[in-house]
Amino acid sequence: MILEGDTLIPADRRMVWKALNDPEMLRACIPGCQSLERQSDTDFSSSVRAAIGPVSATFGAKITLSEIDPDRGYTISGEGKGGAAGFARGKARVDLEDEKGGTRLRYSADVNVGGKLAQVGSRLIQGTAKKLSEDFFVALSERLGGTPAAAEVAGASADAAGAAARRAGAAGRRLLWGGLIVVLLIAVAWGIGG
Amino acid sequence: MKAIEDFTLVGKTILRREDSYLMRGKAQFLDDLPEPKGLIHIAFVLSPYARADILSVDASAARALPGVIDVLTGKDFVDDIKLFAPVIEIGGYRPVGRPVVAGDRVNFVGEYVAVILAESPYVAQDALDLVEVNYNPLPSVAGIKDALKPDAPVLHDHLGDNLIFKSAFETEGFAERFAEGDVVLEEEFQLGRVTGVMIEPRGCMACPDPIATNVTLWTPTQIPHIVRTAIADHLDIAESILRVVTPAVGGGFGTKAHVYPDELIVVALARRLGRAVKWVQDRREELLTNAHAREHILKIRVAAKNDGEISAVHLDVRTNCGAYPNHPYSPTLEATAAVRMMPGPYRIRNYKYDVCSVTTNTAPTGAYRGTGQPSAFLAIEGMMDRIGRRLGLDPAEVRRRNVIRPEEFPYVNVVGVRYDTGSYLPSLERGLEMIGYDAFRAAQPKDRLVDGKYRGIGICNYTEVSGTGAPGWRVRGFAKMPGFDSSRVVVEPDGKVTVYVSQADAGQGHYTTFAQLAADRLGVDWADVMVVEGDTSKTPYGTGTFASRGSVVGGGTVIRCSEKVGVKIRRIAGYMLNADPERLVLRDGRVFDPADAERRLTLREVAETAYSMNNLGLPQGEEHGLEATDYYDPPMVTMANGTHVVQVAVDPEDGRIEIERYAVVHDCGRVINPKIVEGQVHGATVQGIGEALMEEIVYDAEGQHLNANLLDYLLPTAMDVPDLELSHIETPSIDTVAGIKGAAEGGLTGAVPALANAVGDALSGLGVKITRVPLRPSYVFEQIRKARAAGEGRT
Amino acid sequence: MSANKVTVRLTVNGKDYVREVEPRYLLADFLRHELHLTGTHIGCEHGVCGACTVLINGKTGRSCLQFAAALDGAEITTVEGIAGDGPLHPVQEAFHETHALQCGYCTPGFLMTTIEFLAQNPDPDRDEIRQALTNNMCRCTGYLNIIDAVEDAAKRLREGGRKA
Repeated sequence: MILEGDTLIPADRRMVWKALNDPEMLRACIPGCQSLERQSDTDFSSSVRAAIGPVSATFGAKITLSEIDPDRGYTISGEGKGGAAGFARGKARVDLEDEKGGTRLRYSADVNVGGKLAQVGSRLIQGTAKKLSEDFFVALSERLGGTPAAAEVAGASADAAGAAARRAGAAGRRLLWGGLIVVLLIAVAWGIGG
Repeated sequence: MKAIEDFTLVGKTILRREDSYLMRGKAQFLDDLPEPKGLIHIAFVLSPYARADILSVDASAARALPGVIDVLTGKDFVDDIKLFAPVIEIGGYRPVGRPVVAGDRVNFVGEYVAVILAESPYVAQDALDLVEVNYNPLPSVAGIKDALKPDAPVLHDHLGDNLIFKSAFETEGFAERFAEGDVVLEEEFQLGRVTGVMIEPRGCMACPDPIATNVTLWTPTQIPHIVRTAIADHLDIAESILRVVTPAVGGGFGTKAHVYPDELIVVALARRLGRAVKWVQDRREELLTNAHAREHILKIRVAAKNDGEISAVHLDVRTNCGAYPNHPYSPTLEATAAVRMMPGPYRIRNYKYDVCSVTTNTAPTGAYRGTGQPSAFLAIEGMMDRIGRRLGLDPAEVRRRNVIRPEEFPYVNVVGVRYDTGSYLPSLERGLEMIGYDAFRAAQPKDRLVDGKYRGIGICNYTEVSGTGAPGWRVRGFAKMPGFDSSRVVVEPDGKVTVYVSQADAGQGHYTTFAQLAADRLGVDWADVMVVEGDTSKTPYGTGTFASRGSVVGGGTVIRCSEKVGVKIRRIAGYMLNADPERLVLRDGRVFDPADAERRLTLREVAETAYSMNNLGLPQGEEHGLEATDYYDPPMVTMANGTHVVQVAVDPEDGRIEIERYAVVHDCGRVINPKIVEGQVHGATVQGIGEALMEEIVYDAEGQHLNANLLDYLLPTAMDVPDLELSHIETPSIDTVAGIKGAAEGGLTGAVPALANAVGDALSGLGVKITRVPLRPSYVFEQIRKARAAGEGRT
Repeated sequence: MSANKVTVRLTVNGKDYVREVEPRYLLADFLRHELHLTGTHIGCEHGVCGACTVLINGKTGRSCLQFAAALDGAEITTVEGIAGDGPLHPVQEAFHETHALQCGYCTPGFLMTTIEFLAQNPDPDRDEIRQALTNNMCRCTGYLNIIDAVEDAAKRLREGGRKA
């Protein structure tokens, strides 16, 4: 499904671009990120620990940058595997624009979630993703010198991709998307029996 | 055969003997059974991908976990278990086999990829997290229309495309007859995918017999003999070494009337390892992998005369098979049911159908209560309303003009299905009367808006296939479906009775109703009749309990068999009393000549003679024992019928649908136990309310199942159920034993179209067409919003 | 994961038990497999269907969502404790007479919910009954006879001068 949104980061565009390419900065801002290592100019591997309720799990992700337009934007794609919890795959286009007050970051992402994540967590993904992306933007803004209040997180609009995609349950699958969080790594377990 | 009037217990509500032990918690469902020593618990690693190559399976961490015995993959089963496939012989069907555990390719989310063997179920679950499977995801397809596109991924190479089944039919001169219509109406209906969701999930346990090379498979199935035959076929073992037993079964609904790969797997493992092997699924697996159903697209074109009479119908049905054909029905079951039953209670003589079933990367679909009929009637009953709207006729009147009248029975429909008897018109009239139809219509405003809500009435006048015998199965390609059921009735030495039936109860009350029937024929107290079912070692061979056959075929064979035993009882009693057996009557546990009632025997005394427990000896040529066996293959089908009329209010603020009144007229021929029939009608109708308003398995375009949990797959609760007004008609069959017809599925078949039509009527003032179920509030709200905007000149 | 076991003391249907269990052992599994009280059934393991409903310290609870070890010292009543081997409880009699069960798998949960409900509301109307039953799912009966059963049970209890 396609997810789109934008946010105003209170920092100069070049600084934002630098941050978006800095593994150490990303690792610090992504909630639950345990490691984020550059493998090459365009490839990263990451390990993120995420939790819903009393259960948490660690997900391993491979991330690739492409269609790089320096200081302006890139396409980030990735796949994260959470073992028995499932997987998430996605691709996001991230573009930066100068704006009064800082940089407007726009993103457009195509995400697929599969396995147990999708089967039992579809409804929970929205809430958790919203929290994760808000946390990410707040952290990014703080580190780039702004205050949390100055980071404005605009709503994302979800557009079902393909004629056959349908909404699940009452809450649908709208995601607020943190631009760099390609993989929404959510471990879901229902009870302990699995 | 004694006339129907002679029955004393048929038609009586007898409270169930099952209730006490069920309510005390003493009944043993699969997971309640005592566990044999050394029991191995298994769990399945499920594919998270809808279509992928399996590159590698690393189970080393899982194997190292204390309590894990082993981890097996697909290659560990290829020698023991053949590719799993149903036996279907019908033109247009192409066979596809399925490995019980995937080898190098997975084709749906939830397909088995590996098997954990462990000492306890908790350890087995822990081990699931430790198996690392490396997949190469491949393009996948989930929807019917997508799977038919020329560039769609093809699941099974040998087919070349995804068309696993395709068939067609046309009456002579169809095109000409169609052209004779004054008006042509066309619509495309869609039904969402659903599944049975019985409250008890599946599981099974295979126990090897330490003395012989026998295996007992405990499984909550509706079809024990078919399961036994299928396992024996696929494992290449003799049927006589395999016993299939049902414990108490927590609901079936057709979902438990399939053979599943896990049943083959546990038997193979138990034989291989010499230990009992058990598996129980959780609700997520249940929703992911148990037989799904519906997901049909029906395109219907109707040519009608200006007076509402239908000239000709063209129906195009497409169904979603899922990744593999289910066993034993394959996808042809719902597909052929939909096209064969569309004519329903109507006189439609010019008919063309095209039907196909398409493989997709979703869970295999199969049988579920109603089986194609809710779909067929969603289409034809939906068109009845549309014809009315187009021609300015009341939709009830359109139905009257097309319905088969009482004097036309027996009637053979356009595809050759015999309707023996029926009350199609009386049922319709009574339903309309119960709901106060005429008054409602007279008061109904054109815009349908009353007190801020859109209010409408929907009708579904339906036929219900029941009691299908072998001819009915063969004509639809089910080559190995027995079609008959059987019973063995034994009067024991103490004069009490044991009835063995080749059926399998899942809550329908067989232990009471079959006892009722035998007691009626043998003149004993029904409490002295024990019923044994669901055990292939104890009962003769049969088909099982599904497709509304329990009362017709199970009941039919018990009646016939009891009659046969009655003949022998009278013969021996005649010998003992020196009386004419033809004059002897069985009543109150006694045998006597009514003209000489002082001289009578207890059934026990007769039994003692039969079992050589006295000095009397037997008459010349008479064998010992006091029992009979009966095999009953009913006619092709017997047709039950009914009418649902429902009044709804649709709230434009949020799209929610409230059922204000609901009338059900139900005709299942001769009723054995009225309260039990009422229970079946309630249950089926509420499942229909669920299917019409809230239930849907949602897959994304790639085949990810998005709602495999009960928070997101919505089932009706007590709050969703209106008080049903229920009326019975008894039009006995002229083809079955005692005129019995089936009762179980009609409620569902009637509810889905009736509710769709009611909402369609309520919103007809806005120009909204209702063409799909479920009618989720979000869908209805959107339809209202669009229609209102269009009406105001905006889009 | 063979975790350390902990000692748990539970009184179930009036009888005291002391057992060593893993901390994550579900109450439902404890009742069913440790104590062999298999009348409590598991339908979903995520607290929605209500088949596993028992009374925990007098209040209904989902035994599939509780850990036995977390309930140390609690009093549990299961369906086996309603009537034991004696005559059926008036609620059970009502269920029997109104044909409020078919396969019986969900029934123990409904019985526990009904008993708690009628103790709190001895003279409910049908809408109150529907609301009270909304957290127990049944797939066989369509609920109508169950609603009748609860109405009938309420009447029996009132006339018998008895609390649920």
